[in-house]
Amino acid sequence: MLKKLYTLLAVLLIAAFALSACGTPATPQTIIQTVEVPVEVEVTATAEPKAEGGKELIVWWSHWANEPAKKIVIEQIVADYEAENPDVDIVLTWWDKNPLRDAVRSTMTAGGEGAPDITTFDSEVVEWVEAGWLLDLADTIPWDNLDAMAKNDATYPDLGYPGNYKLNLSKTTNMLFYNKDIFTELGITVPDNYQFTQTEFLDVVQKCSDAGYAGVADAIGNRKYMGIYPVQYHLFSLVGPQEFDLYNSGKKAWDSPEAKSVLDYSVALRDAGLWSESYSTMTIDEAHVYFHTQQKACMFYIPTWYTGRAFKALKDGGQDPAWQFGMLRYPAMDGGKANDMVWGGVESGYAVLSTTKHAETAKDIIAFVAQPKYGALWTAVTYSPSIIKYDPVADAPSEEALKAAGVTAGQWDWYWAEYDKVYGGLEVGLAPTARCGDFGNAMDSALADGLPQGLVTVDESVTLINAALCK
Amino acid sequence: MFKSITQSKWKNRWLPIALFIGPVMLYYLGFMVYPFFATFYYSFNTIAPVKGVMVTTFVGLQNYIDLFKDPIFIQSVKNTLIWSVVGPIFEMLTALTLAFLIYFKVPFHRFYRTAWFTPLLVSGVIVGLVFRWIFNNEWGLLNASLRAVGLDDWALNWLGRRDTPLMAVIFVHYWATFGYSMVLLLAGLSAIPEELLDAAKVDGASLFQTVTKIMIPILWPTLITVLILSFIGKMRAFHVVWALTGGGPMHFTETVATYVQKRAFGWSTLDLGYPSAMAVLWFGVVMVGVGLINRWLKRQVDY
Amino acid sequence: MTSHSQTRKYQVNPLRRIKDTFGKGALTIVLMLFTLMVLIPFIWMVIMSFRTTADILNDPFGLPKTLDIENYGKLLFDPEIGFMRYFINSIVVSAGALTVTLILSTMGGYGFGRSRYQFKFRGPLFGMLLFALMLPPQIFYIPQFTMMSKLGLLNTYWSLILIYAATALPVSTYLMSTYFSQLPSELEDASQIDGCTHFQTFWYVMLPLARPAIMTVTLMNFMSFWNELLLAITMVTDPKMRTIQAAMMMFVGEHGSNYAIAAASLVLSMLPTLLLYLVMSDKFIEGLTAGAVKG
Repeated sequence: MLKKLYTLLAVLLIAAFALSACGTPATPQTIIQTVEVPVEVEVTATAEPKAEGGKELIVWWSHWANEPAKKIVIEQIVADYEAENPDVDIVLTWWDKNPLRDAVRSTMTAGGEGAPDITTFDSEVVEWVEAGWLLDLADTIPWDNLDAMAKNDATYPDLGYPGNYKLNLSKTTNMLFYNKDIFTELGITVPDNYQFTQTEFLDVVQKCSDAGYAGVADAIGNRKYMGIYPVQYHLFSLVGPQEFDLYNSGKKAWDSPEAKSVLDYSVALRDAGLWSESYSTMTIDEAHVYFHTQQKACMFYIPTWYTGRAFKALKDGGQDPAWQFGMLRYPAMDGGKANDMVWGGVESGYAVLSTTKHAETAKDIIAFVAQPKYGALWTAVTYSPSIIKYDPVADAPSEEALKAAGVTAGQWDWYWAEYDKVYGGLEVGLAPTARCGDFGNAMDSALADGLPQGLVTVDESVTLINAALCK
Repeated sequence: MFKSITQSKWKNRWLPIALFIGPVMLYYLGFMVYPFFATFYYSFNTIAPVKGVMVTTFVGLQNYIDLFKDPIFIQSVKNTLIWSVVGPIFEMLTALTLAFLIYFKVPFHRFYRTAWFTPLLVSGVIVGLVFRWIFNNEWGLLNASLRAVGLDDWALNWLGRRDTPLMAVIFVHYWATFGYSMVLLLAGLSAIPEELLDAAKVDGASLFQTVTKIMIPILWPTLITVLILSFIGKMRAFHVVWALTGGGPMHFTETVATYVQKRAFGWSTLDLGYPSAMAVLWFGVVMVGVGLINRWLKRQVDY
Repeated sequence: MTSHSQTRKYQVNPLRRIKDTFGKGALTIVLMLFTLMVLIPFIWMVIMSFRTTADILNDPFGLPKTLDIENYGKLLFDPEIGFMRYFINSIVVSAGALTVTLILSTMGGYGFGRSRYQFKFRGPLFGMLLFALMLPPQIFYIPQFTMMSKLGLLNTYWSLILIYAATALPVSTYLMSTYFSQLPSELEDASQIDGCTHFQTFWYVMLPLARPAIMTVTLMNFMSFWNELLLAITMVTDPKMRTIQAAMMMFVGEHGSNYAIAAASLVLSMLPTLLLYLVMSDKFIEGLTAGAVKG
């Protein structure tokens, strides 16, 4: 019987090969076509199908299921839009980022059936743009309302996509927190300019781990990029934003003396006890809790979206508002070009999928979001800086709006005070990262899995990374 | 007259066959065979979205050639093969012992039979998740217990090292599936005619002799079938690995199944042809493996 | 020689007795420890689900202070989370797939199993049915997914029902055919003489006899449909339509740091199979092995 099976399979194999070679588009999968001419991506706004009751139905999938403050802001925006446009019905669904990405990818790969109109998009997911899945929003977004840096994000002229594909709401600053109580306990004094030197920083980590704490709370359970932060922060400080961007995007080989010195430093930090014992399995939420509630780590490399996960109710995993942590500038690298700069960026934003049947409305919604009052609302409710420019007085949200959003006035003022104290006045360096092919995976493998867990040497990790550079 | 005979022959013979087997086979052809065929087809192409449209480009055997040069694929093959060879042997040995114990009615054997089967009730993903907590380096059950009894040195970062993750995966999967093998072997044991055992006792055979000289030879075909099932199961295992380690760290627990998943649905290079080639190649390997096991190990035993 | 061993068997040797009991005792201890190791993950999970996260972080080992079912209540009835809905989705999908599977596999098993329906290609066809067991699931996903998309069935119950039934067919048909092949043929002949058509014979005579096998197929497949995850998250992206496994996965992904409620969601998602098993464990196991192993 087995023999008959083999023959049958051989026949199938040959048939499949033959069919492929002839390039027959005869299979019922009509999404598969041998196309010579690239197809127009823009969807023209002709008769748009209406939902039931004559209303236009917009499906909006968003990340931040676990960040209540951001949910409140977006829901407010949606409510306002529906109030102004009664014939539009927006259905907002909340996800965690990874499953959302998988779902969009699966649906779009299969032709777009069931795909949303608006979705969360992260600038580094370049393949979506290359696949033609996103609409160009360059003419839609009111750029005057946004900080100048917005126009340089989510645009990929090198790859042939000079448009803009994403609406950003927040601009982030990458920060370094420290636990004041532990520092006091261990007798560590923070310098007046809030910046340790390279050697001093190493010493701090050593003191922390000697006392049984982890150097930092970062972990790679479900977000690999956290493990790469130290290397990125330090490389940024050493070579400055432009060079750093090249390294980070896979456009420059990592066997340069600078890159290697940063990697060597991260190994020294590791050996001094930088990482927690739960590094391998802790998820991003757990890492936050590790830092602010369990207080088992001295420091935390984290961008400004920390507030989204930490400034929520205690029982939901948020931190105690009365517990004030401190901030540090990045360790001053020996011979660093950007020691007095801070690394800025963006977080997740929104894009419109090309399969939408309501392109006009979707774009209208995107433009609607980019209003000054929403920038102010964003900052006030999420404690995260907004990329939408606003007048702090004229556009400030009303008392009732804030109350409705559950904001307790003054609760987190110490946070902003600390932020202004430590990072205020520092020049912000941007490094919009557009990675190619498998470079991201190689970085994750070598720098998040490999080096911190002692699975590869510095040279091996450099080889791994260089093997995946953009061609 | 001949016409009526062939007519009734068709009605009597072929109609019922078509009636009963037809639906199953058609359904199966549509939902399983056709996709399988389609994957074959895909494996000779690169299927990637370009500017919004899925473009299929014929690449012949290029995907297969690339496979042999792909270090991650090679790593995943190594991992899967190690697992599929070591795992079943270990599983057969233990499952057989346990089956014998239950067969010979050790105290509480009914309880054991029920208890040892429970891991199979849970989906592989839950198993992976729970064991992730158990293996947590800091507060996981395993390390906490080891530290509690003073075996601190043994409390390793099971999921984060070079050598231990694969062991962890093999162990967890074993935990989840050994009950099934044990139960199947038990059934095989129960099928051994009582008279033979009585005859052996009368002839003065010791327990050991009865087991080795009589029961195992009779059980042999069943044992090999269960071995094959276990082998196939490990060659295609996905859920437990995915939930426990996701193929990490650094691909030390990458299996062919997880790598196919990553290439098809996870990683940045959007190409369905390459993972299809992987799946087809692996199918071939599994077939060969099953054939070899059959050839080498299944022999008729005369008694 | 024979009588010697026989009398030896019935002699009460006190030393032997002690050794026996001691041996049995040692064996029991070893096996009990082993069983504990097997069951501990479940026990731990259930315990965790009755505590609060803060409690768990302080003391991973401790027992719950009160039997607090707040976690479960929140999961099931809190409108934001509402696991009830996912429960229902899972039930619909599992029951639907089960129905399709039963219909096709009983008929198919009958056709493959009864010798009177033998024909030249029956063996190879049957083999073809089984070879799908050897393949990693991914080999089918991609085309199945595009197929469902083309049929416009994505995000409906049908996408899952149809595919689940397809994956269950090989083993179920195999089981049914093995069982049917063991039934005596006199019954069929008798009913034919009585004037029944083939189908009537199948429906009224043979099928009722196959009850044990049907029960096995039902239990086994219900379990695997209930527990299936990968297709559930790929085929159904609309959050309202998720099965309980997919919802649990999302939940743990989003709220994984809230260990207590995550543990509760794990327990909830395995509750039906667990209950079913506890009630019918004997039938479960026996059915699985009946006719399942034919070298």
